[in-house]
Amino acid sequence: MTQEPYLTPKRIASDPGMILLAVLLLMSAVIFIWWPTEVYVAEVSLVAWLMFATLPVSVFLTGYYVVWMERRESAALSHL
Amino acid sequence: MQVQESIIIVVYLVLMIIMGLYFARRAQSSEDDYWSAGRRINSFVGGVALFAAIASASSLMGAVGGGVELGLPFFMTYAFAATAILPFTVFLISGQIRRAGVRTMPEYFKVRYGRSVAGVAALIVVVAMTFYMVPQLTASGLIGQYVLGIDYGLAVLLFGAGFTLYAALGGMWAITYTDLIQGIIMLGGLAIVATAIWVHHAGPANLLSDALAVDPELGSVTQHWMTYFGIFLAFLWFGVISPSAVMRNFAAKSAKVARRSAFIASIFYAAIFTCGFFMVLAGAGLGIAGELDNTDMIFLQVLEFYLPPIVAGILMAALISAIMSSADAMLLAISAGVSQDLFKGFIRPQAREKTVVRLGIVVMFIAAGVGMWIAWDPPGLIAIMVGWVGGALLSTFGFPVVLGIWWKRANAPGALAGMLGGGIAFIVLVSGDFFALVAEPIIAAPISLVLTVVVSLLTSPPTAETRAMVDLWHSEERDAESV
Repeated sequence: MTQEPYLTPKRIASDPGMILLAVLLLMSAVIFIWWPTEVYVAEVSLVAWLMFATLPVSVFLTGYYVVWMERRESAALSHL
Repeated sequence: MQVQESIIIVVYLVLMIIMGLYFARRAQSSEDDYWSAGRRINSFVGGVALFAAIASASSLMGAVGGGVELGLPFFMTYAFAATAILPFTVFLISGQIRRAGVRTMPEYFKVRYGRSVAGVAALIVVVAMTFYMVPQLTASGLIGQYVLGIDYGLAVLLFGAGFTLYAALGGMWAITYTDLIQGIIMLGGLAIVATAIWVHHAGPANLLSDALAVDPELGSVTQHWMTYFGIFLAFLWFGVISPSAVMRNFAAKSAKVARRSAFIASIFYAAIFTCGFFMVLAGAGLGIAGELDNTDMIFLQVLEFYLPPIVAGILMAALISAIMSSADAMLLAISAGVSQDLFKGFIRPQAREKTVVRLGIVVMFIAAGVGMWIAWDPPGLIAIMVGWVGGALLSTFGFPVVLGIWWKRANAPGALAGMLGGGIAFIVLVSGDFFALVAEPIIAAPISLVLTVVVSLLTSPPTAETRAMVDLWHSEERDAESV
Protein backbone atom coordinates (compact mmCIF):
# COMPACT_ATOMS: atom_id res chain seq x y z
CA MET A 1 0.00 0.00 0.00
CA THR A 2 1.31 3.45 -0.90
CA GLN A 3 1.77 5.67 2.13
CA GLU A 4 -0.05 9.00 2.00
CA PRO A 5 2.40 11.90 1.60
CA TYR A 6 2.77 14.04 4.72
CA LEU A 7 1.96 17.32 3.02
CA THR A 8 -1.47 17.14 1.38
CA PRO A 9 -4.17 19.83 1.43
CA LYS A 10 -6.16 17.60 3.81
CA ARG A 11 -3.21 17.26 6.15
CA ILE A 12 -2.43 20.96 6.00
CA ALA A 13 -6.05 21.80 6.92
CA SER A 14 -5.90 19.45 9.92
CA ASP A 15 -2.45 20.55 11.08
CA PRO A 16 -2.61 21.98 14.64
CA GLY A 17 -0.33 24.85 13.61
CA MET A 18 -2.60 25.81 10.72
CA ILE A 19 -5.76 25.59 12.84
CA LEU A 20 -4.31 27.76 15.60
CA LEU A 21 -2.81 30.11 13.03
CA ALA A 22 -6.32 30.61 11.65
CA VAL A 23 -7.51 31.50 15.18
CA LEU A 24 -4.65 33.99 15.60
CA LEU A 25 -5.29 35.60 12.22
CA LEU A 26 -9.04 35.74 12.82
CA MET A 27 -8.46 37.55 16.10
CA SER A 28 -6.14 40.02 14.33
CA ALA A 29 -8.58 40.50 11.45
CA VAL A 30 -11.46 41.31 13.82
CA ILE A 31 -9.37 44.01 15.50
CA PHE A 32 -8.03 45.61 12.32
CA ILE A 33 -11.33 45.45 10.40
CA TRP A 34 -13.49 46.62 13.29
CA TRP A 35 -10.88 49.22 14.45
CA PRO A 36 -13.08 50.90 17.10
CA THR A 37 -11.07 54.08 17.55
CA GLU A 38 -13.97 56.31 18.60
CA VAL A 39 -15.25 54.09 21.40
CA TYR A 40 -13.46 54.95 24.64
CA VAL A 41 -13.15 52.87 27.79
CA ALA A 42 -11.56 54.69 30.75
CA GLU A 43 -10.57 57.48 28.29
CA VAL A 44 -8.51 55.05 26.20
CA SER A 45 -9.60 53.96 22.73
CA LEU A 46 -11.22 50.51 22.77
CA VAL A 47 -8.88 49.40 20.00
CA ALA A 48 -5.93 49.78 22.38
CA TRP A 49 -7.63 47.65 25.05
CA LEU A 50 -8.53 44.98 22.51
CA MET A 51 -4.91 44.72 21.41
CA PHE A 52 -3.75 44.55 25.03
CA ALA A 53 -6.22 41.73 25.67
CA THR A 54 -4.57 39.63 22.94
CA LEU A 55 -1.38 39.18 25.02
CA PRO A 56 -2.68 36.34 27.24
CA VAL A 57 -4.51 34.86 24.24
CA SER A 58 -1.23 34.60 22.29
CA VAL A 59 0.46 32.88 25.22
CA PHE A 60 -2.44 30.47 25.64
CA LEU A 61 -2.48 29.55 21.94
CA THR A 62 1.26 28.82 22.01
CA GLY A 63 0.93 26.61 25.09
CA TYR A 64 -2.08 24.82 23.62
CA TYR A 65 -0.10 24.08 20.46
CA VAL A 66 2.83 22.64 22.43
CA VAL A 67 0.53 20.26 24.33
CA TRP A 68 -1.43 19.32 21.21
CA MET A 69 1.70 18.48 19.22
CA GLU A 70 3.20 16.44 22.02
CA ARG A 71 0.00 14.40 22.33
CA ARG A 72 0.05 13.74 18.59
CA GLU A 73 3.68 12.67 18.81
CA SER A 74 2.93 10.32 21.71
CA ALA A 75 0.11 8.81 19.67
CA ALA A 76 2.46 8.41 16.70
CA LEU A 77 5.04 6.75 18.95
CA SER A 78 2.50 4.25 20.22
CA HIS A 79 1.78 3.25 16.60
CA LEU A 80 5.44 2.64 15.76
CA MET B 1 27.86 61.09 35.28
CA GLN B 2 25.79 58.85 37.58
CA VAL B 3 28.47 56.94 39.49
CA GLN B 4 26.48 54.02 40.93
CA GLU B 5 24.69 53.31 37.65
CA SER B 6 27.97 53.58 35.75
CA ILE B 7 29.73 51.07 38.02
CA ILE B 8 26.91 48.54 37.60
CA ILE B 9 26.94 48.92 33.82
CA VAL B 10 30.72 48.58 33.52
CA VAL B 11 30.77 45.51 35.82
CA TYR B 12 27.97 43.99 33.77
CA LEU B 13 29.82 44.60 30.49
CA VAL B 14 32.99 42.99 31.86
CA LEU B 15 31.02 39.95 33.09
CA MET B 16 29.56 39.39 29.62
CA ILE B 17 33.01 39.52 28.02
CA ILE B 18 34.29 37.00 30.60
CA MET B 19 31.45 34.68 29.58
CA GLY B 20 32.55 35.03 25.97
CA LEU B 21 36.06 34.01 26.97
CA TYR B 22 34.72 31.06 28.97
CA PHE B 23 32.84 29.65 25.97
CA ALA B 24 35.49 30.52 23.37
CA ARG B 25 37.24 27.14 23.34
CA ARG B 26 34.05 25.09 23.11
CA ALA B 27 32.48 27.39 20.51
CA GLN B 28 35.50 27.45 18.23
CA SER B 29 35.90 23.66 18.22
CA SER B 30 33.54 23.20 15.24
CA GLU B 31 31.22 25.10 12.90
CA ASP B 32 28.21 23.39 14.49
CA ASP B 33 29.28 24.57 17.94
CA TYR B 34 30.02 28.10 16.77
CA TRP B 35 26.77 28.78 14.90
CA SER B 36 24.31 26.37 16.54
CA ALA B 37 25.80 25.63 20.00
CA GLY B 38 26.16 22.01 18.89
CA ARG B 39 22.31 21.83 18.67
CA ARG B 40 22.28 21.00 22.39
CA ILE B 41 20.23 23.89 23.84
CA ASN B 42 17.34 22.82 26.09
CA SER B 43 13.82 24.27 26.36
CA PHE B 44 14.25 26.74 29.23
CA VAL B 45 17.64 28.10 28.20
CA GLY B 46 16.50 28.24 24.57
CA GLY B 47 13.21 29.90 25.51
CA VAL B 48 14.72 32.68 27.58
CA ALA B 49 17.48 33.19 25.01
CA LEU B 50 14.91 33.36 22.21
CA PHE B 51 12.94 35.94 24.17
CA ALA B 52 16.09 37.96 24.82
CA ALA B 53 17.07 37.82 21.15
CA ILE B 54 13.67 39.07 19.98
CA ALA B 55 13.15 41.58 22.80
CA SER B 56 15.51 44.21 21.48
CA ALA B 57 16.11 47.80 22.51
CA SER B 58 13.07 48.49 20.39
CA SER B 59 10.80 46.31 22.52
CA LEU B 60 11.68 48.22 25.64
CA MET B 61 13.03 51.68 25.01
CA GLY B 62 11.46 52.12 21.57
CA ALA B 63 7.99 50.85 22.44
CA VAL B 64 7.82 52.96 25.60
CA GLY B 65 9.16 56.06 23.79
CA GLY B 66 6.81 55.46 20.86
CA GLY B 67 3.88 54.94 23.24
CA VAL B 68 4.49 58.22 25.05
CA GLU B 69 4.90 60.17 21.80
CA LEU B 70 2.29 58.49 19.57
CA GLY B 71 -0.20 57.28 22.20
CA LEU B 72 -1.23 54.08 23.95
CA PRO B 73 -2.77 52.52 20.79
CA PHE B 74 0.69 52.68 19.16
CA PHE B 75 2.26 50.91 22.15
CA MET B 76 -0.55 48.33 22.22
CA THR B 77 -0.09 47.59 18.51
CA TYR B 78 3.55 46.98 19.24
CA ALA B 79 2.71 44.72 22.19
CA PHE B 80 0.03 42.84 20.25
CA ALA B 81 2.30 42.14 17.27
CA ALA B 82 5.43 41.40 19.31
CA THR B 83 3.65 38.89 21.56
CA ALA B 84 2.07 37.23 18.53
CA ILE B 85 5.55 36.72 16.99
CA LEU B 86 6.06 33.51 18.97
CA PRO B 87 2.78 31.71 18.23
CA PHE B 88 2.90 32.82 14.60
CA THR B 89 6.43 31.43 14.23
CA VAL B 90 5.82 28.21 16.08
CA PHE B 91 2.59 27.45 14.18
CA LEU B 92 4.12 28.14 10.81
CA ILE B 93 7.76 27.08 10.77
CA SER B 94 9.46 26.15 14.07
CA GLY B 95 9.14 22.37 14.00
CA GLN B 96 9.54 22.00 10.25
CA ILE B 97 12.58 24.25 9.94
CA ARG B 98 14.26 22.51 12.87
CA ARG B 99 13.75 19.17 11.10
CA ALA B 100 15.45 20.60 8.01
CA GLY B 101 18.70 20.19 9.95
CA VAL B 102 20.33 23.40 8.72
CA ARG B 103 22.33 26.02 10.63
CA THR B 104 21.49 29.31 8.94
CA MET B 105 18.66 30.81 6.91
CA PRO B 106 20.59 30.89 3.62
CA GLU B 107 21.43 27.23 4.26
CA TYR B 108 17.68 26.57 4.45
CA PHE B 109 17.22 28.34 1.11
CA LYS B 110 20.07 26.27 -0.34
CA VAL B 111 18.55 22.98 0.79
CA ARG B 112 15.05 23.94 -0.33
CA TYR B 113 15.67 26.04 -3.46
CA GLY B 114 19.33 25.69 -4.45
CA ARG B 115 22.53 27.74 -4.55
CA SER B 116 21.36 30.82 -6.46
CA VAL B 117 18.57 31.56 -3.99
CA ALA B 118 20.92 30.89 -1.07
CA GLY B 119 23.44 33.40 -2.44
CA VAL B 120 20.85 36.17 -2.75
CA ALA B 121 19.48 35.28 0.70
CA ALA B 122 22.94 35.50 2.26
CA LEU B 123 23.46 38.99 0.80
CA ILE B 124 20.05 40.13 2.10
CA VAL B 125 20.85 38.69 5.56
CA VAL B 126 24.16 40.54 5.73
CA VAL B 127 22.72 43.92 4.66
CA ALA B 128 19.49 43.69 6.71
CA MET B 129 21.16 42.51 9.91
CA THR B 130 23.82 45.20 9.64
CA PHE B 131 21.08 47.85 9.41
CA TYR B 132 19.19 46.15 12.23
CA MET B 133 22.14 46.69 14.54
CA VAL B 134 21.77 50.47 14.06
CA PRO B 135 18.73 50.98 16.34
CA GLN B 136 20.39 48.76 18.94
CA LEU B 137 23.58 50.79 18.80
CA THR B 138 21.59 54.04 18.85
CA ALA B 139 19.92 52.93 22.08
CA SER B 140 23.28 52.00 23.61
CA GLY B 141 24.67 55.41 22.63
CA LEU B 142 21.75 57.21 24.27
CA ILE B 143 22.13 55.22 27.48
CA GLY B 144 25.89 55.66 27.59
CA GLN B 145 25.57 59.38 26.99
CA TYR B 146 22.94 59.74 29.71
CA VAL B 147 24.43 57.47 32.36
CA LEU B 148 28.17 57.59 31.84
CA GLY B 149 28.15 61.24 30.80
CA ILE B 150 30.29 60.49 27.76
CA ASP B 151 29.88 61.54 24.15
CA TYR B 152 27.13 59.67 22.23
CA GLY B 153 29.59 58.37 19.63
CA LEU B 154 32.01 57.12 22.26
CA ALA B 155 29.15 55.30 24.01
CA VAL B 156 28.18 53.60 20.74
CA LEU B 157 31.81 52.53 20.31
CA LEU B 158 32.12 51.23 23.89
CA PHE B 159 28.97 49.10 23.92
CA GLY B 160 29.41 47.99 20.31
CA ALA B 161 32.93 46.77 21.05
CA GLY B 162 31.66 45.02 24.20
CA PHE B 163 29.05 42.80 22.60
CA THR B 164 31.16 42.21 19.49
CA LEU B 165 33.96 40.87 21.67
CA TYR B 166 31.95 38.26 23.54
CA ALA B 167 29.87 37.26 20.51
CA ALA B 168 32.97 36.84 18.34
CA LEU B 169 34.79 34.82 20.98
CA GLY B 170 32.03 32.55 22.17
CA GLY B 171 29.71 32.18 19.15
CA MET B 172 26.22 30.74 19.74
CA TRP B 173 27.30 29.16 23.05
CA ALA B 174 28.26 32.50 24.60
CA ILE B 175 25.33 34.28 22.96
CA THR B 176 22.79 31.78 24.28
CA TYR B 177 24.06 31.79 27.86
CA THR B 178 24.62 35.57 28.02
CA ASP B 179 21.10 35.91 26.58
CA LEU B 180 19.77 33.64 29.34
CA ILE B 181 21.19 35.98 31.98
CA GLN B 182 20.14 39.07 30.03
CA GLY B 183 16.59 37.78 29.60
CA ILE B 184 16.20 37.13 33.32
CA ILE B 185 17.66 40.55 34.19
CA MET B 186 15.31 42.21 31.69
CA LEU B 187 12.14 40.64 33.02
CA GLY B 188 13.16 40.91 36.68
CA GLY B 189 14.21 44.52 36.21
CA LEU B 190 11.03 45.58 34.48
CA ALA B 191 8.92 43.79 37.07
CA ILE B 192 10.68 45.87 39.73
CA VAL B 193 10.01 49.18 37.98
CA ALA B 194 6.38 48.24 37.23
CA THR B 195 5.87 47.41 40.91
CA ALA B 196 7.49 50.70 41.97
CA ILE B 197 5.19 52.63 39.60
CA TRP B 198 2.12 50.72 40.86
CA VAL B 199 2.99 51.46 44.50
CA HIS B 200 3.83 55.12 43.79
CA HIS B 201 0.44 55.76 42.17
CA ALA B 202 -1.53 53.44 44.51
CA GLY B 203 -2.76 51.23 41.67
CA PRO B 204 -3.18 51.22 37.88
CA ALA B 205 -6.45 53.20 37.84
CA ASN B 206 -4.78 56.19 39.51
CA LEU B 207 -1.74 55.77 37.29
CA LEU B 208 -3.92 55.93 34.18
CA SER B 209 -5.85 58.99 35.34
CA ASP B 210 -2.59 60.75 36.36
CA ALA B 211 -1.17 60.11 32.88
CA LEU B 212 -4.36 61.26 31.11
CA ALA B 213 -4.44 64.41 33.23
CA VAL B 214 -1.05 65.36 31.80
CA ASP B 215 -1.68 64.10 28.25
CA PRO B 216 -5.43 63.85 27.45
CA GLU B 217 -4.61 62.50 23.95
CA LEU B 218 -2.63 59.55 25.31
CA GLY B 219 -5.47 57.08 24.79
CA SER B 220 -6.27 58.20 21.24
CA VAL B 221 -5.31 56.85 17.83
CA THR B 222 -2.97 59.51 16.40
CA GLN B 223 -1.69 57.92 13.18
CA HIS B 224 -3.20 56.58 9.99
CA TRP B 225 -4.60 53.02 10.21
CA MET B 226 -1.90 51.87 7.80
CA THR B 227 0.88 52.80 10.23
CA TYR B 228 -0.57 50.51 12.90
CA PHE B 229 -1.21 47.72 10.42
CA GLY B 230 2.28 48.10 8.91
CA ILE B 231 3.90 47.87 12.36
CA PHE B 232 1.73 44.86 13.14
CA LEU B 233 2.67 43.04 9.93
CA ALA B 234 6.39 43.74 10.22
CA PHE B 235 6.55 42.50 13.81
CA LEU B 236 4.20 39.56 13.47
CA TRP B 237 6.50 38.05 10.88
CA PHE B 238 9.70 38.86 12.73
CA GLY B 239 10.27 35.35 14.09
CA VAL B 240 9.83 33.89 10.62
CA ILE B 241 11.96 36.32 8.66
CA SER B 242 14.68 37.43 11.04
CA PRO B 243 17.75 35.25 10.67
CA SER B 244 18.86 36.18 14.19
CA ALA B 245 15.62 34.72 15.63
CA VAL B 246 15.31 31.76 13.27
CA MET B 247 18.86 30.63 14.07
CA ARG B 248 17.69 29.96 17.65
CA ASN B 249 15.50 27.21 16.27
CA PHE B 250 18.49 25.52 14.72
CA ALA B 251 20.26 25.45 18.09
CA ALA B 252 17.40 23.56 19.79
CA LYS B 253 17.89 19.88 20.61
CA SER B 254 14.78 18.88 18.65
CA ALA B 255 11.55 20.21 17.13
CA LYS B 256 9.85 19.51 20.46
CA VAL B 257 12.41 21.62 22.32
CA ALA B 258 12.05 24.38 19.70
CA ARG B 259 8.29 24.50 20.32
CA ARG B 260 8.64 24.51 24.11
CA SER B 261 11.25 27.26 23.87
CA ALA B 262 8.81 29.39 21.88
CA PHE B 263 6.15 28.89 24.58
CA ILE B 264 8.52 29.99 27.35
CA ALA B 265 9.59 32.99 25.25
CA SER B 266 5.94 33.98 24.70
CA ILE B 267 5.31 34.08 28.46
CA PHE B 268 8.35 36.31 28.97
CA TYR B 269 7.33 38.57 26.10
CA ALA B 270 3.75 39.07 27.27
CA ALA B 271 5.05 39.84 30.78
CA ILE B 272 7.54 42.40 29.54
CA PHE B 273 4.90 44.32 27.57
CA THR B 274 2.60 44.32 30.57
CA CYS B 275 5.40 46.01 32.52
CA GLY B 276 5.97 48.31 29.54
CA PHE B 277 2.34 49.46 29.75
CA PHE B 278 3.04 50.81 33.24
CA MET B 279 6.17 52.55 31.96
CA VAL B 280 4.26 54.30 29.15
CA LEU B 281 1.70 55.63 31.63
CA ALA B 282 4.43 56.68 34.05
CA GLY B 283 6.44 58.30 31.23
CA ALA B 284 3.43 60.26 29.98
CA GLY B 285 2.62 61.29 33.55
CA LEU B 286 6.06 62.87 33.95
CA GLY B 287 5.00 65.46 31.35
CA ILE B 288 8.50 65.97 29.98
CA ALA B 289 8.23 64.22 26.61
CA GLY B 290 8.13 67.55 24.76
CA GLU B 291 11.34 68.72 26.42
CA LEU B 292 13.44 65.73 25.33
CA ASP B 293 15.60 65.75 22.18
CA ASN B 294 14.68 62.11 21.65
CA THR B 295 11.46 60.64 23.10
CA ASP B 296 13.14 57.23 23.37
CA MET B 297 14.96 58.73 26.39
CA ILE B 298 11.70 58.72 28.38
CA PHE B 299 12.48 55.14 29.45
CA LEU B 300 15.59 56.31 31.31
CA GLN B 301 13.73 59.25 32.82
CA VAL B 302 11.11 56.89 34.27
CA LEU B 303 13.83 54.71 35.82
CA GLU B 304 15.55 57.71 37.37
CA PHE B 305 12.30 59.13 38.72
CA TYR B 306 10.82 56.01 40.28
CA LEU B 307 13.85 54.07 41.50
CA PRO B 308 16.85 54.66 43.76
CA PRO B 309 20.16 54.96 41.80
CA ILE B 310 21.40 51.43 42.58
CA VAL B 311 18.17 49.82 41.33
CA ALA B 312 18.01 52.18 38.35
CA GLY B 313 21.56 51.06 37.49
CA ILE B 314 20.42 47.42 37.44
CA LEU B 315 17.50 48.40 35.21
CA MET B 316 19.82 50.21 32.84
CA ALA B 317 21.90 47.06 32.74
CA ALA B 318 18.63 45.31 31.80
CA LEU B 319 18.16 47.72 28.93
CA ILE B 320 21.72 47.20 27.78
CA SER B 321 20.95 43.47 28.09
CA ALA B 322 18.11 43.89 25.62
CA ILE B 323 20.38 45.69 23.22
CA MET B 324 23.26 43.27 23.51
CA SER B 325 21.20 40.11 23.39
CA SER B 326 19.64 41.19 20.11
CA ALA B 327 22.70 42.76 18.56
CA ASP B 328 24.89 39.72 19.31
CA ALA B 329 22.38 37.45 17.55
CA MET B 330 22.42 39.81 14.55
CA LEU B 331 26.21 39.76 14.47
CA LEU B 332 26.14 35.97 14.47
CA ALA B 333 23.68 35.96 11.56
CA ILE B 334 25.90 38.33 9.57
CA SER B 335 29.00 36.32 10.38
CA ALA B 336 27.32 33.06 9.33
CA GLY B 337 25.97 34.74 6.19
CA VAL B 338 29.41 35.75 4.98
CA SER B 339 31.68 32.94 6.16
CA GLN B 340 29.34 29.94 6.15
CA ASP B 341 26.92 30.76 3.34
CA LEU B 342 28.94 32.92 0.94
CA PHE B 343 32.59 31.91 1.56
CA LYS B 344 32.08 28.20 2.17
CA GLY B 345 28.97 27.92 0.02
CA PHE B 346 30.32 29.65 -3.08
CA ILE B 347 33.98 30.64 -2.87
CA ARG B 348 35.76 27.77 -1.12
CA PRO B 349 33.52 24.76 -0.38
CA GLN B 350 36.54 22.73 0.86
CA ALA B 351 37.57 25.34 3.45
CA ARG B 352 38.62 23.95 6.85
CA GLU B 353 36.21 24.44 9.75
CA LYS B 354 38.72 26.58 11.67
CA THR B 355 39.22 28.85 8.66
CA VAL B 356 35.47 29.38 8.30
CA VAL B 357 35.05 30.12 12.01
CA ARG B 358 38.01 32.55 12.01
CA LEU B 359 36.61 34.35 8.99
CA GLY B 360 33.31 34.58 10.86
CA ILE B 361 35.06 36.31 13.77
CA VAL B 362 36.70 38.87 11.45
CA VAL B 363 33.35 39.51 9.73
CA MET B 364 31.73 40.23 13.11
CA PHE B 365 34.19 43.03 13.83
CA ILE B 366 33.77 44.53 10.34
CA ALA B 367 29.95 44.39 10.55
CA ALA B 368 29.97 45.93 14.02
CA GLY B 369 32.18 48.73 12.67
CA VAL B 370 29.77 49.46 9.81
CA GLY B 371 26.79 49.42 12.22
CA MET B 372 28.57 51.84 14.58
CA TRP B 373 29.38 54.16 11.67
CA ILE B 374 25.70 54.36 10.61
CA ALA B 375 24.53 54.70 14.23
CA TRP B 376 26.81 57.73 14.62
CA ASP B 377 24.00 59.77 13.02
CA PRO B 378 20.83 57.61 13.39
CA PRO B 379 18.22 58.10 10.63
CA GLY B 380 15.09 57.98 12.89
CA LEU B 381 13.32 56.91 16.07
CA ILE B 382 14.35 53.46 17.29
CA ALA B 383 10.88 51.95 16.81
CA ILE B 384 10.66 53.30 13.27
CA MET B 385 14.12 51.98 12.28
CA VAL B 386 13.17 48.54 13.60
CA GLY B 387 9.91 48.75 11.65
CA TRP B 388 11.82 49.42 8.43
CA VAL B 389 14.15 46.44 8.83
CA GLY B 390 11.27 44.15 9.79
CA GLY B 391 9.32 45.37 6.78
CA ALA B 392 12.26 44.83 4.42
CA LEU B 393 12.82 41.27 5.68
CA LEU B 394 9.12 40.45 5.44
CA SER B 395 8.98 41.80 1.88
CA THR B 396 11.92 39.64 0.81
CA PHE B 397 12.00 36.46 2.93
CA GLY B 398 8.48 36.07 4.35
CA PHE B 399 6.70 34.14 1.62
CA PRO B 400 9.68 32.27 0.13
CA VAL B 401 10.37 30.85 3.63
CA VAL B 402 6.79 29.89 4.46
CA LEU B 403 5.84 28.59 1.01
CA GLY B 404 9.05 26.56 0.96
CA ILE B 405 7.69 24.66 3.95
CA TRP B 406 3.98 24.56 3.14
CA TRP B 407 3.83 24.43 -0.65
CA LYS B 408 5.89 21.75 -2.38
CA ARG B 409 5.31 23.38 -5.77
CA ALA B 410 7.34 26.47 -4.76
CA ASN B 411 10.59 26.42 -6.72
CA ALA B 412 13.85 28.35 -7.09
CA PRO B 413 12.75 30.82 -9.82
CA GLY B 414 9.61 31.58 -7.81
CA ALA B 415 11.56 32.15 -4.58
CA LEU B 416 14.10 34.32 -6.37
CA ALA B 417 11.36 36.41 -8.03
CA GLY B 418 9.54 36.77 -4.69
CA MET B 419 12.67 37.86 -2.84
CA LEU B 420 13.91 40.33 -5.43
CA GLY B 421 10.47 41.65 -6.42
CA GLY B 422 9.40 42.17 -2.80
CA GLY B 423 12.75 43.74 -1.93
CA ILE B 424 12.70 46.15 -4.88
CA ALA B 425 9.07 47.11 -4.17
CA PHE B 426 9.99 47.83 -0.54
CA ILE B 427 12.97 50.02 -1.52
CA VAL B 428 10.88 51.98 -4.04
CA LEU B 429 8.10 52.55 -1.49
CA VAL B 430 10.40 53.52 1.37
CA SER B 431 12.48 55.89 -0.75
CA GLY B 432 9.46 57.48 -2.46
CA ASP B 433 7.74 58.29 0.84
CA PHE B 434 4.35 57.39 -0.74
CA PHE B 435 2.75 55.84 2.31
CA ALA B 436 2.05 56.22 5.97
CA LEU B 437 5.03 55.59 8.25
CA VAL B 438 6.36 51.97 8.10
CA ALA B 439 3.38 50.83 6.00
CA GLU B 440 5.51 49.64 3.03
CA PRO B 441 5.19 45.86 3.65
CA ILE B 442 1.40 46.12 3.21
CA ILE B 443 2.13 46.46 -0.51
CA ALA B 444 5.61 44.92 -0.90
CA ALA B 445 4.88 41.61 0.89
CA PRO B 446 1.83 40.71 -1.26
CA ILE B 447 3.92 41.53 -4.35
CA SER B 448 6.49 39.00 -3.08
CA LEU B 449 3.70 36.43 -2.50
CA VAL B 450 2.19 36.86 -5.97
CA LEU B 451 5.59 36.67 -7.68
CA THR B 452 6.62 33.55 -5.74
CA VAL B 453 3.38 31.75 -6.63
CA VAL B 454 3.02 32.88 -10.26
CA VAL B 455 6.66 32.35 -11.25
CA SER B 456 6.70 28.94 -9.51
CA LEU B 457 3.61 27.85 -11.45
CA LEU B 458 5.04 29.11 -14.75
CA THR B 459 8.31 27.21 -14.36
CA SER B 460 9.28 23.57 -13.76
CA PRO B 461 8.26 22.02 -10.44
CA PRO B 462 10.94 21.06 -7.89
CA THR B 463 12.50 17.60 -8.19
CA ALA B 464 10.85 14.54 -6.62
CA GLU B 465 13.69 14.48 -4.05
CA THR B 466 12.97 18.05 -2.98
CA ARG B 467 9.25 17.33 -2.64
CA ALA B 468 9.99 14.21 -0.59
CA MET B 469 12.33 16.24 1.62
CA VAL B 470 9.59 18.81 2.30
CA ASP B 471 7.26 15.95 3.23
CA LEU B 472 9.80 14.71 5.76
CA TRP B 473 9.95 18.14 7.42
CA HIS B 474 6.30 17.60 8.33
CA SER B 475 6.83 14.12 9.70
CA GLU B 476 5.84 14.18 13.36
CA GLU B 477 6.73 10.48 13.53
CA ARG B 478 10.39 11.51 13.25
CA ASP B 479 10.03 13.65 16.35
CA ALA B 480 8.22 10.88 18.16
CA GLU B 481 11.13 8.55 17.42
CA SER B 482 13.59 11.04 18.89
CA VAL B 483 11.58 11.79 22.06
